[in-house]
Amino acid sequence: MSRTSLVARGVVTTAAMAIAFAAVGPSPLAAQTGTINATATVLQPITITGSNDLQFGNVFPGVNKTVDYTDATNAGKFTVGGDGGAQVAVSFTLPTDLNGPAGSTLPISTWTGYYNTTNSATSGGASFTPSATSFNTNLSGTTGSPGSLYVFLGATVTPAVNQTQGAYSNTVTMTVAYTGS
Amino acid sequence: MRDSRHSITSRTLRSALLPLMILVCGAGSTHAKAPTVQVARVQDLTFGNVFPGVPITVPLTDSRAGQYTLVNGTGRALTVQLVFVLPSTLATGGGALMPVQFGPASAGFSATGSLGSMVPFDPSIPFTATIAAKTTARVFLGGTLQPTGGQAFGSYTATITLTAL
Repeated sequence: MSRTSLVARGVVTTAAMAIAFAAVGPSPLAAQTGTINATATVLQPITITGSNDLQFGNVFPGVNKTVDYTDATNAGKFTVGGDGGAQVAVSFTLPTDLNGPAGSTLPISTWTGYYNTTNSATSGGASFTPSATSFNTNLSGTTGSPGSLYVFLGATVTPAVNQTQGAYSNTVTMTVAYTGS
Repeated sequence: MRDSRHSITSRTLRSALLPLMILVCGAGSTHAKAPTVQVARVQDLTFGNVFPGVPITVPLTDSRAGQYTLVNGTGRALTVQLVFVLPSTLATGGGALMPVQFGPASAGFSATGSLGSMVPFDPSIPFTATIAAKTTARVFLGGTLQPTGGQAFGSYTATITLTAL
């Protein structure tokens, strides 16, 4: 009886362990998925318009001529558009000469400038010295609405006494980029 | 007498097995309905306003980072593989595309849900995570946008899927 009982207990224990193992062994997890969105709003791209050429008009040999940035008729002028209130970096590629007939050149230097969020070269803005080194400023307005910036340029040409007669010109390039601020 | 005792022992065995069988049946139903980690959106990965030509990065610790919760409602710890399906671009309704990048530390797993205990990982590689019983863990995701200088303005979006396997 005793032997039978021991054997029986042993069988029960073994069976229970096997069953228990099957019950708590590793079980596959059901895959669960969640989604989110990545979102962004790209603001208005910058536009630059050369609104007015820097015009020296008639120049006499040997006589320097300066056009001030406040000269409403002859000063150079750029108009910038973009997202309102955005900070931009402004820089220039400036010629050192105007190119004339048969390879002749007319030196140009002493650049002056004025930037403003309104279309005025006399008040409300700030003067600066145009160069390849950028400066930062902000467009008018607020984020999400159109913004503007006006840039006015002046300079001086220094014709030689024997300056070749004819028309001279060159390109002034202004670069404007968002800073992200 | 001996036969009688043996008979009593057999009855005892049968009655001992019955609860076990019931227990196993219960476990079997657990098998049929596999334990799961529930994945849910907390918030989008929001880059906000983006300037053309100016890359922008949202760190995974930033308040604008994407977030998911991983809820283990079971009574035991569960180990899962976290697998992202990541977009390479965000798009406008008009079809304009803007590249988005995810780096080797753009994602983070927090077993407790807090930023302090977050472990960064590469979202482009499956990540093994263990979530304690009755616990809500959290996954964070940052990224970098690369708008071009001529990037078309407008609203861009993309879907990011996280699967717990």
